[in-house]
Parts: sequence; structure tokens; C-alpha cells
Amino acid sequence: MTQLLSMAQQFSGLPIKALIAAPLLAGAEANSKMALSQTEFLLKTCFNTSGSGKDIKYDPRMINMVLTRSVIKPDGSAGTPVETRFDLPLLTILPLNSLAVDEITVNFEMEVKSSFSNDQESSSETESAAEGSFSAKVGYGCFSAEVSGSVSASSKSASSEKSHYEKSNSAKYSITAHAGQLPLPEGVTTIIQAFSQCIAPIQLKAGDKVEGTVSSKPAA
Amino acid sequence: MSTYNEIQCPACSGKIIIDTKLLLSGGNFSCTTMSCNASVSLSNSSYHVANSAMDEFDKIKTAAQLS
Repeated sequence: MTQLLSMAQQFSGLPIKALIAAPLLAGAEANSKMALSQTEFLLKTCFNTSGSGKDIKYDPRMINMVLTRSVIKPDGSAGTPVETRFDLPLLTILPLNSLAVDEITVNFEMEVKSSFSNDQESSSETESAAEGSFSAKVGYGCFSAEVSGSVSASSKSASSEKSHYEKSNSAKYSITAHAGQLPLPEGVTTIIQAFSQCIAPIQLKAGDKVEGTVSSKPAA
Repeated sequence: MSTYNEIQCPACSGKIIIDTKLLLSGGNFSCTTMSCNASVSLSNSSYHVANSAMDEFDKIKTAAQLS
């Protein structure tokens, strides 16, 4: 009879480390690429650069917005809406989100099913039959004799054998990676907040001097 | 992915929620403060800059989802 395989032997050759580490490394690599591409995008698209090397300077690229405010006259009637133009950093209107692989699930399921089954069925059948008959008749006088005989024999033999062998192995390895949005890095959030807070115009009072870069544009 | 962004209202310092896609299609966004009747829209002169940036952003987003 064939012996069943040891379960420990079945699992001993499996590269468990590689099976688990490979998807995680792939996820980390994907995250790194995504972060790099988003940073490149930010610097290339949302900023104008000047200078080179260590003296490179990034100035936010601005877009012009129109602010419309309704006017209500003292008598309650609607006046002509007032339009004010202001500049807004492009960075503040882009729906930036850190896109990254935030979940990796490695499902490893291995089923070793080793079974041996041997069904043997043997049957033998023998049948024999015999039949005999005999009669005799003897006369004297006019001489009469009669002999009669009969013999019959029959034999039957049957044999059958059935064998069944069964063995199975199965393995399942599935990886689920989910890419989701992460909160923006604190630094990027701070830059966006600083830019968006600079939208409000600076109210000058009579006698105030306009110095430096103070204008209707937000100071970047 | 959400395309909503929030800017500070220049008139009352309240919030103005902006959908960038709608902004690019000429949308007008009002301040969330009830008493402030200010609304903002994108100036025609800046349409090209904002549209190009959004196209670039969509490209990296698609690339990230494919990788």
C-alpha cells in the first residue's frame, strides 16, 4: 500500500519569503514612482522656475479669477454687479491627492490533498452440473435387450477485478493591491493654505504707504 | 477621485468650494457664507494655463492607476 505524503514535506520547499515579500516590494516601488511623478508634476506644472542649480527659484504659476459681487442699491433694487479680478496660484485649484497603494493583501492558500485509495474487488464463480441416466432391459425368449444411457455435464467460471487510485494537489495564491488616496503631505497642505489665504486683498488706510511687492496680487 | 477644492473667499474669508472640471467648463462658484454674495469664475485669459495643468494631472493620475 502506498503511504500518504507528509504535509511538512509538501510545505518545506515553498519560497514563502518570496511569495510574501515580492508583492510588498512591488507596492513600495509603485508608491515611490507615484510620489515621484506627482512631485515632478507639481514642480513642472504649478511653478515657474528661474535660476539653475542650487539657486533655482520656484514661483507659483498664477491664474486669473473673476470675483463677482452683487450690489443692492439703497432703495432695494439690484445694481450692476461689481467684478474684481484677482490672481490665484494654480496649485490651489488642482485636486491634488497623494495617490498610493494603501493596502496589499496576500492570500496564500495551499491545499495538499494526498489520498490513496485502492479498491479491489475480485469475484469468482464456478458452476458445474452433471446429469446421468441409464436404463437397461433384457429379455430372454425372443431375445430382447435395450440399453439406454444419458450423461450431461456443465461448468461455468467468472472472475472480475476492479482497482481505483486517487491523488490530488492544489495551490492557490492571490494578491490584492488597492490604490487609494492618502492625505496630502503636511508641507504641501501648508503651501496651499498659505497661498489660498493670500487671496484676500490688503486693505490700505489713508496715509499707508505701498511698499515692496504689495499689490492686488497675493504675495507668494 | 474627487475634483473638489477649497479656496478662501476674497470678500469674507469664508469657503468657496471649486470643482476644477466645472471651473474649466465656465462654471461659477459662490461663497458658502450665506450673507456673502460673492462668486468666482475663471478668467478667459487663464483658461489655457488651467486646462493644460488639468490635462497633465489627468495623465499622471491615469499612469498611477495603470501601474
